[in-house]
Amino acid sequence: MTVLIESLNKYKIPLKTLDNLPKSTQIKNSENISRKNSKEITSVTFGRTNNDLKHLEIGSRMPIKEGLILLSNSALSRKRIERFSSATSSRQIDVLPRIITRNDIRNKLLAFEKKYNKTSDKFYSDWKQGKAIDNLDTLKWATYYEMWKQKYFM
Amino acid sequence: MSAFGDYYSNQKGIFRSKLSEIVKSAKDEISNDPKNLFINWIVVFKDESILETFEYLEINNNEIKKTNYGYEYKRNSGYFFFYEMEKEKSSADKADTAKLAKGIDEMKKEKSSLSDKLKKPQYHLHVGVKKEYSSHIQKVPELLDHNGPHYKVSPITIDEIIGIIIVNFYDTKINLLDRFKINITPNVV
Repeated sequence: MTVLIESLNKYKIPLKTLDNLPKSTQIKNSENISRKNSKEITSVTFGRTNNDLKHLEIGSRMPIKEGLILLSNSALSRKRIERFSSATSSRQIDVLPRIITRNDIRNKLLAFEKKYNKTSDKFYSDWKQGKAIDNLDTLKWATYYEMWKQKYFM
Repeated sequence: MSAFGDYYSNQKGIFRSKLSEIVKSAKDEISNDPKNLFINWIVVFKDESILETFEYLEINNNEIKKTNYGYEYKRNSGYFFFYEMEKEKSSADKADTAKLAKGIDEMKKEKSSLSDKLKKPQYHLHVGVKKEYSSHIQKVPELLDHNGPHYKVSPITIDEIIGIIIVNFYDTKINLLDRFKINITPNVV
């Protein structure tokens, strides 16, 4: 039930994905991650309070919960995360939030375009004029479109 | 702990713990780009009804502000309700509207603005039957999917949505209401 620290390097986990995580699993900030040549992670410190900090170096393993949180934020497929970690089932991974990447936003826009047979540009123009259907799909579509245009995660 | 982290943890507590007696599964997607924060939950209840929530958020002075949201609850019969908060018009949009209205008779403009606001209030509710279940209600187009009226409502929270679901569809689990923050004070008019 552990995850190798090396996985953080192998899958190039972006540091900004470590913010805003639930309290029990939050890695406080990027200062808690040491890097060699500003790229390769050499150690990670995490914990809820100063008395609870755990310091792990290359070669050691992280507890499953923290490790999976990191891996799940790396935009890997769940299957690959499961294979790489020693999680025993995808159920352990399913309880983690899925953090949306820029590529996910793009895929969501494409899925809406296919479903409604309309480009996102055309939809958004209709939506701004109050001509689009008003439902949860269109609310999400317009929001994702604005995020895409606002350079989400860039 | 950030305001967003606290807010998200609270929702996680609701769907993964407080409602465990009536919820079968709950999946979520979040964004953690500080400029574009959102939380999207898809919650499947034990009777196969589904609640989907989508909230787009801003943080001001370490406080969460909802920019827009949608809470949709669907039942197997095809019945649904959908609470929506639309985004407020940006100043650029308002300027465009003002520009368009320039030159039009003021009274006409005011009337049109009132009817627009009543037709599609910023906070509104849809109640109807999903298109795919609609064969028997073709004669009541007001109930067909989201084509019916936008009923004006007050802002609503996820706790209140859960309360509505419990009292109307899980009345044997009324005791669960104690776990939620539900405001029943009527709005003063």
